[in-house]
Amino acid sequence: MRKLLFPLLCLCFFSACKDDTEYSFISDYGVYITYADGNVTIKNSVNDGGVSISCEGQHVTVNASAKDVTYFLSGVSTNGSFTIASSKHGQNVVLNGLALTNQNGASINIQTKKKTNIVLPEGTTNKLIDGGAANADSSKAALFSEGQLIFTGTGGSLYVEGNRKHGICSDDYIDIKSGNIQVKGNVSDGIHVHDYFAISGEKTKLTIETLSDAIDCDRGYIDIYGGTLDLTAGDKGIATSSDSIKLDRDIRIYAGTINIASLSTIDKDLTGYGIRSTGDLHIEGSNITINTKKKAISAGKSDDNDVFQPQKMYIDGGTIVCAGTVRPLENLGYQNAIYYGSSNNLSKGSNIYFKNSDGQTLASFITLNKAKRFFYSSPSLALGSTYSVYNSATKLISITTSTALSYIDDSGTAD
Amino acid sequence: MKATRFLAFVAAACLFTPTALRAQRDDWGASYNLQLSKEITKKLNISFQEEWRTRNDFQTTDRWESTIGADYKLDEILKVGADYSLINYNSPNAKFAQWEVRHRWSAYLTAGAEIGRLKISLREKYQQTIRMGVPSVSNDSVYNTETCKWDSNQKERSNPKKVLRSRLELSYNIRKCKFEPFASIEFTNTLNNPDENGISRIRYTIGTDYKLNKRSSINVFYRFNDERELGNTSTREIDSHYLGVGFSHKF
Repeated sequence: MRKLLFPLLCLCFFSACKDDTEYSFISDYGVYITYADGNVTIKNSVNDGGVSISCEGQHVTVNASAKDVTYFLSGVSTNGSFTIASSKHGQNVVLNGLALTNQNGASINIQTKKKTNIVLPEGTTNKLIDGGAANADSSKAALFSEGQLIFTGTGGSLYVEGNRKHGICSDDYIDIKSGNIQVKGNVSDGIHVHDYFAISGEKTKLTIETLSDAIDCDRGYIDIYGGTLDLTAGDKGIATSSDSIKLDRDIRIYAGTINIASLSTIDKDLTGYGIRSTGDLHIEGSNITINTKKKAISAGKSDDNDVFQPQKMYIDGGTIVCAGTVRPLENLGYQNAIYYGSSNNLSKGSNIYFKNSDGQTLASFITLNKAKRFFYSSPSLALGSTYSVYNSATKLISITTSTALSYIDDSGTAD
Repeated sequence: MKATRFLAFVAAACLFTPTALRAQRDDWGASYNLQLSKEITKKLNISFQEEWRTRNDFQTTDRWESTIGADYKLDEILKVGADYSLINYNSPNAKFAQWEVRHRWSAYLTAGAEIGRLKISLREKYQQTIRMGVPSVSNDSVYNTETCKWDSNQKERSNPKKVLRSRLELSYNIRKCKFEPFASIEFTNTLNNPDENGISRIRYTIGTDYKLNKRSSINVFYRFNDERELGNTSTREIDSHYLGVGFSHKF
């Protein structure tokens, strides 16, 4: 038993050990990268080899194993980029007044599946422009991430221009919580996500002008909790998965202001959706104006025989004004809507008014394209009441609401 | 031939099973260890173990760990023991020292039984680790992405860290075969985590011993550390896979 004494003494000794050393405050744990014409200045405060940085011209590549690293990017480069080639943990990328154009690839290319916060501090203006061949690198956008992208901060602005494929793209999800973000898609989608898209924040502003879809979610849902969205799209404004992928993915809108218009330079037969959900569509709030060439709202998808299979549409709140087709012709929500189908197209620039039986204007808008379908829903619409649609001073039709979605055409046929 | 087949099976299991599930976000490392032991009496045994471990996809040394220990058989089933380890840990977030010295001691009780050629053992181990040079209150600054400012992030850190490790191990003595395969699952329960106590890690191990002679053997194993989130997400380690090889000798 005496031989047990030594380990027991060891136990007593080390259990009594206590470290009382005082330590100074660690001021930051950041990597500062400043682009200036011809060179890049790098200050790496992660001093233990937790972040390795290489630089070729003004193309900066980092590999990180350290936790909680924050990258501060600033300055101007007409041929530079920032790439996170690998990281073991998530990271913050603060855009501190950055104008980064890459002649051959993405401006910011995050090749890790870890979460990235793109931080936009108040008062900063940032610009990201990509270029070159579509397959110049392993990215699909001017701002690309294989992982989750969260836009946050205190309301700085960001302009993104996609010249190879998308403007902003994540192979995971995108959550915009703050910022004034402007996206120009010169080739494909403005924002393209794989799993999920969300936007929130009273002051958040998202402006997209793109040749294809403004916001396109491949395989997941879209949730709009707030913000102001001005979307001009060659194809669809807000869209979930395409028909070829047999998935039903919902779009849910809770608050915010959404304006969707068709891009004027596009004139294809199959383009011009406002909101297109392959799953159910839930609108519980927000102010929505849709002014598209063909379909304003669509919840459903075509089957293998190209026959439209409707999903469910719930309008439970918000004010919605549309020029364009709305389908399905059934609202399962409790807020009333009126929908008028004209026999003839009204010309671009028509002044459309929705009025109540007292002649009071409830909503109005100017058509941006030829249109013959007009939709209006708001909390002020009551069942059993009569409302009229006007083109300037000319009354087009009167509709007496009988269901949650009351449709009528010029022949007086109600659906 | 049979031995080769078995090794191929173990290697395939190591490579494909958890990798397919978690390949994208996990780390890989290796463990090399040497264990020497001496039977003092029929009931008392002492041991010394040296381990070199790597991480960061085998590229970085994770630690050097030297362990001395003793165990005592209470009867045919129960065994008690205690270990002390001196760990030189290569900290990935070296805010205090790149090579962090850790003192670890543990006390354990093992219950073992044999059913035919199958051995079952259950070990309950209390472990305390002291990180030298690391204060028990952290005072790191954290970048607040909502305010765009550095925040002081004062919070308690468990140092010494106290855990209870519960391991169930099965091994099988194959008749007329030098291989003795084993598999184990071990749960690490935190006892003084300032955020929340609970299971912080589940460790799965599969491998085999190979008897070189009566006194010596080598072992190879695959280990997967499934790290669990407790309270603060930033404290969660990333999951890791280890391939290990060891040599043990009894004097």
